Amino acid sequence: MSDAFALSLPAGLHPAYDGRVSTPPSDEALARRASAGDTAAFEQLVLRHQHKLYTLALRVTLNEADARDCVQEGLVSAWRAMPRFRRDARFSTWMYRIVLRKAYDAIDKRRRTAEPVEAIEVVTSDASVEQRIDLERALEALEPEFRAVAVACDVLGLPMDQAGELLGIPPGTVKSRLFRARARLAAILEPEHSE
Amino acid sequence: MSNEHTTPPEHEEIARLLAEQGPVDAPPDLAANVMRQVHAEPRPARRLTLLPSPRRLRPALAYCAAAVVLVAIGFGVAHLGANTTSSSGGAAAEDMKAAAGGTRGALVPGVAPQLGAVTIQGVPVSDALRVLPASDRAPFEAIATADSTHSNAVAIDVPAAKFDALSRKLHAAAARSTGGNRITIVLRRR
Repeated sequence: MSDAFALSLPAGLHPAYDGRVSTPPSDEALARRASAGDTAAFEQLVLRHQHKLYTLALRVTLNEADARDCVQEGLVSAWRAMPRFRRDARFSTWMYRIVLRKAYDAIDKRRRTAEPVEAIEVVTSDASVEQRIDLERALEALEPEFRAVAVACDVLGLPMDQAGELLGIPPGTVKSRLFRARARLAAILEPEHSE
Repeated sequence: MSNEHTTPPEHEEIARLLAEQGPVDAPPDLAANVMRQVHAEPRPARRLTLLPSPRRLRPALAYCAAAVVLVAIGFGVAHLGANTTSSSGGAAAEDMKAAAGGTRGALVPGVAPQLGAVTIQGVPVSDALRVLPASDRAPFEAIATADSTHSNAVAIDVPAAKFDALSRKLHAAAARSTGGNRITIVLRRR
């Protein structure tokens, strides 16, 4: 398959392997280039982080359209703010924070213009899909702040200090909120699983 | 109340569920849409950096402040030294030196400096005895008999009318002298 894309170079022009292993540029290096207006560097950052950013937005807003808007608007805002990005902050945390703020805004907006949501009807017999829907319902029952902690720590796998940085709370508060979020999720899911 | 320092098994199960089922892929056109908007945006303006940021300037500012303090201390010490010299009668001594002409810089130990006084060094004692009025000769007669190597200085108060003439005569005598018993004379205006 890969041979189909191989270019045949004239004799003597085959690039010799020089023994060096090229490592992908770090987020910080790409952010530096993006701050100087390099859109290609920014695109690499978008491709690298889009799934985690979307996960965060979707799990916090619990709405695909909102999540999509949050990430899109968040990334464009990040591009505009690139020249002001502080080098001492972790780039990924900075982007997560922008998207999370958008997600909270979307939740507030939805609360102000609340519309009755029809109950989701499960039309599948696949156990894993059912379990997924259960988890989403359980997440919905959590307050956004507790949901964000569970998503940051358990879904995105961020360490406590980084999650605290993202959420703007001390690591101790992250720990206690995570404990309560898990307890609440366990309480919601347990009766359904035991059936 | 639950103990938050331990992780109950059901919590581990929740964490596992979230880790397994939590992550979702972004819509396939998300990145392309974002980049389309980014390309449509005006290029982000870089901050105009005519001067380095205060954070980068901080070490340089510290060095500058230290240099200013050192220069100020040096300046202060230099002035303190000058003031110390003048406070011990330096001003009067300077005036004396200025008036003394060829004999400037001759501060005579044991003779209080006085404004308008003249110090004449190396005046032969014999000439001093000849030139001075009889009333002022007493100190010189003692000196004339003393050891010639002994350093002596005499202050004489002279009436203002005779001051200049006497000063000229003593200067002339000092200039002529080639050796012998010599003395430093401080003429003070009476």
